[in-house]
Amino acid sequence: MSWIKTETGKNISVLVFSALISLLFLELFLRFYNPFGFRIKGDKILLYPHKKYVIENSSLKGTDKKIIHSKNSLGLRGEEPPKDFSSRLSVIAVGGSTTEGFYLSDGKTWPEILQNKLKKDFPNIWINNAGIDGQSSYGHIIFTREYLSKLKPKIAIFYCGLNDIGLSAMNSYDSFSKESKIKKAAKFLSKNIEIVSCAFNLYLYFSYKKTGITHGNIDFANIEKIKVSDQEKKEILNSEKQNAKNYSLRLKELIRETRKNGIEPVFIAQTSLCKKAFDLNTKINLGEIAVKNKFLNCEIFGEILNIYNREMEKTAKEEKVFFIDADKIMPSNSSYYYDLFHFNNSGAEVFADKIKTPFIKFLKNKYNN
Amino acid sequence: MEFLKDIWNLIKERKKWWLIPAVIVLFLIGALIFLSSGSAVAPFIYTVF
Repeated sequence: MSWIKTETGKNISVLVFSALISLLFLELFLRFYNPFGFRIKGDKILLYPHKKYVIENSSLKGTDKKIIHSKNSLGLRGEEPPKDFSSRLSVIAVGGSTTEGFYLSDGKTWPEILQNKLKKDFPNIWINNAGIDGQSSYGHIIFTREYLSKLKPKIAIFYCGLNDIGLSAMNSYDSFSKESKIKKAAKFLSKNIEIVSCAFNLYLYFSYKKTGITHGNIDFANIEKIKVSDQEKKEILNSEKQNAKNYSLRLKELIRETRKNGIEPVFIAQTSLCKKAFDLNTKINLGEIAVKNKFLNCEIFGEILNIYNREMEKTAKEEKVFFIDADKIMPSNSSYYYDLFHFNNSGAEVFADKIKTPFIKFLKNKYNN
Repeated sequence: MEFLKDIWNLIKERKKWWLIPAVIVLFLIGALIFLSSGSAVAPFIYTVF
């Protein structure tokens, strides 16, 4: 230890000490004030009751200039839970960004619109929006265990598929590391140390961004097109078929978790502009549009999504879960989206309108209304 | 940028290397406060699970 007494040794020791003090200071700061508002800590999902986001928006077409996005006392979007909750026809819509509608103002997301549309037939209906940006079916399982099992709504609508694409393992942590010890350590540190939690969330965010399905405006005047060879297409589709089998296992787990808690699940297959079709608005061939950081085109991405949707349909049939194929009933019209996946104000309205009829049929059968 | 250069020169000339972590952390905190004051931070709230 004689090196510590040298000039360099002293400098290094002071530097290490300074680094530790600085990290401690940063940790304390993040514990008291964390502006990110990340949704995950360790293996827990965080909700933010009464949180209000005000976003000045000038880029996302078909959305409000000033977006006001609020959470209620449950940390969800929509009306406050009623006092007579147990006697109400309570529904929670669970999903990812296409359900949450982060850039849609209060009252303009599809679950909130659906509630208003159903009030005529079901005056005692109450629907809340529990969409969480980026959440896959694995996150839905955690959400069901942590929140839905306590809230116990009568119905849980799961609108998913998109965030499960490419998810070969059970969850993000599994794909982050195959070593279970590292996985466990990452979860533990992320749960207990704010700096690690922030770093991990940022890592997940940037990994997710690579998939190219984060929010953004699409400029149809300067669209980038891509052609993929038949061989590449075949390889991509084959690898996704195995991932889709794992998706089916997660859906089955979701069904078990909801039914165990007296909640009836309803599945809605994901829709998007990614398909082999011409846009009804711009007449552009949607199939040629580049997605996933220009690695894929919309036609193949649409085929991949269809593999997941068919798995959902098959699982729903096997487990006798009510299923709505939104991809078949939503028109391929870019005026309903601000990018390839996310609804704008009119898209959410049309989507709610399209799923209303089959959902009413289900409610009438189930509750004999 | 001038300000950052001045700090760097001060650290270099006086050999106060131990100040580097403190400066980095202060810079990070400043960036966090700046980002969170507008909607620029909003894209970071999206996480995968």
